[in-house]
Amino acid sequence: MLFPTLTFGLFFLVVFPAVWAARSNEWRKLLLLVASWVFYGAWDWRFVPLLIGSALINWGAAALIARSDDARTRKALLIGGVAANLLVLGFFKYFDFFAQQAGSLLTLFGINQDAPLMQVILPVGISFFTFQGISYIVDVHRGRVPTARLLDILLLMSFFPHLVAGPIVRAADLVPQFQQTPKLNRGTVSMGLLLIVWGLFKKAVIASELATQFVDPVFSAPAAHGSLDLILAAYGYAVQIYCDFSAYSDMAIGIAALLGYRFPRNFDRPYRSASLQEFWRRWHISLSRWLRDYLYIEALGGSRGGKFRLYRNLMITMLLGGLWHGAAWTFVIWGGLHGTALVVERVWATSPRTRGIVLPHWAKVVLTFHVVTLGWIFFRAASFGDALAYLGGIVAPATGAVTVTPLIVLLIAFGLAIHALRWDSMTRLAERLRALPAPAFAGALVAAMLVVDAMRFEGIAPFIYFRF
Amino acid sequence: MSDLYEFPTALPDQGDDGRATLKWAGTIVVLATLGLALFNPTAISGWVDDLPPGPTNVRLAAIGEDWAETAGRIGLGAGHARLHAVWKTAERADWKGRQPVEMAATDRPATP
Repeated sequence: MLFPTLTFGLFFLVVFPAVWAARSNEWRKLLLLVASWVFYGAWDWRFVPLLIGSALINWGAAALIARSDDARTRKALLIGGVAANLLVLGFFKYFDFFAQQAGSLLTLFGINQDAPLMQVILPVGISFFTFQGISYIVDVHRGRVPTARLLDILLLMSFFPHLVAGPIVRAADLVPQFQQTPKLNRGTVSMGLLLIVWGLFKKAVIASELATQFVDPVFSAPAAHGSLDLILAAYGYAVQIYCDFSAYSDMAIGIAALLGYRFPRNFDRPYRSASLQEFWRRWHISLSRWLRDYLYIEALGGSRGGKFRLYRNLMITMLLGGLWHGAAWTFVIWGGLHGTALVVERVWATSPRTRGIVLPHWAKVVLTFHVVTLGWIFFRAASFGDALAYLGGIVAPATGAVTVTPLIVLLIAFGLAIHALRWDSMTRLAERLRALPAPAFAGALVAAMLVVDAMRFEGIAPFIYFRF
Repeated sequence: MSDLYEFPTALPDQGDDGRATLKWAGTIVVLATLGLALFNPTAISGWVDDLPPGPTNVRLAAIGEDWAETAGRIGLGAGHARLHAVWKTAERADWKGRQPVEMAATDRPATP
């Protein structure tokens, strides 16, 4: 059930009044829980028990941790809980990948053993809900959050707006909201509806048009295209993935707002970053904060232990962050590229020979954008070889066709230009809309949605981050 | 960073009455739904066509088609159709003087 479809619209038209008509907060949460399972079951009912089981494990582990006074027992329970989450994720997401790698490794040593592939189906959103579970038990272990009731944890991990592609909302942010009866204010509703329409526009018009009309054909046959097409398709993919993923987050935040809950910001105009470090503060913020807090600092020790450890920890974090996106070497290389760039930035800023060389701000933005776009080529390509062939096509003299159209150039330019907006542009617009009477607001909403629908490509492609 | 930066929908409460706000939001949702059903009738018939076949869905499809036809006769979907035509023209627009590119066999849409 994709957000920008009529099926989801009808689902929401049932959920919205039912939730607000609920007799008590407990009934509201129960309704939301059932609705979330229906939403998740629309993909594959078989994985609903997995979602429930995962929540039960995390709730149980956290309850036992909180009940124990012995530090060693608490640590053992924490390790057990984290391991259980990683086992679930590892089995469904990485089993076939690692089995294939093991098979290839054995072949190198002359042992020809077929890899025991199981063709495991990847449950949608598993990377998101397992990370949410891990953060909950680590936070309980650290005393950062109190234990929550089973209903609250079930809903935390199943809540349909963020279930399949984030943002990764932590217990500290959402459980206290579940414990209170939500209340709507006009500002929240205005902002929620604005985010939904803006997300719909970014996904259905910009991302879908770029993908179907230009980026996908160029990436599927790079040899048939000239350098200009290849360069513009790389820029196009940078805009496409931003408009695709940030659109999902915007719609998730907007839908949650209409139900009375607030989600954290997940994107903040990432291509205006002047360094890779800044990029990761603006791109998929909930994931980068998760990696920083639970992997880089909690598990690896962060910058404690000197420069070498800092660089090593940055590399490990980004490599694992890359692998989180998918079981393929291209994602690992993408993570490695970001890790290397982050290390180079640190070295550059601290080395006595280079720290005096400071580029103008605009040059740093352009440089950062191109490093990020280089990474996207590996992220998008089907294999390492394909990525290298693509890069080779950019460098080699142009021989292939140039197929880019004026509309595609305009969409790429628009996708980049929106990064120049103020961070609170949408908030200011919502502040104006909150004063409108309902019929006028509805009229504006209908007009905007009709424009989006008239411009969108036929059908809706799945969101890129559903694969993760 | 402010709360509004961290949580984009956390706009300040201006002493809104919860019940009145809910009525306001509900009215917007209902009117917007009706507006979309009125002015974009082909979306409904298109959606019904994609549903798995069955007796209920056949009936639904007939209702959807009837509605699209009626709306078309009155001209309710004309604005949407005009906008769509403009967008399609923009999609086809090419650089001045450029010869159409011969697509590779793999890029060509399959012909029936």
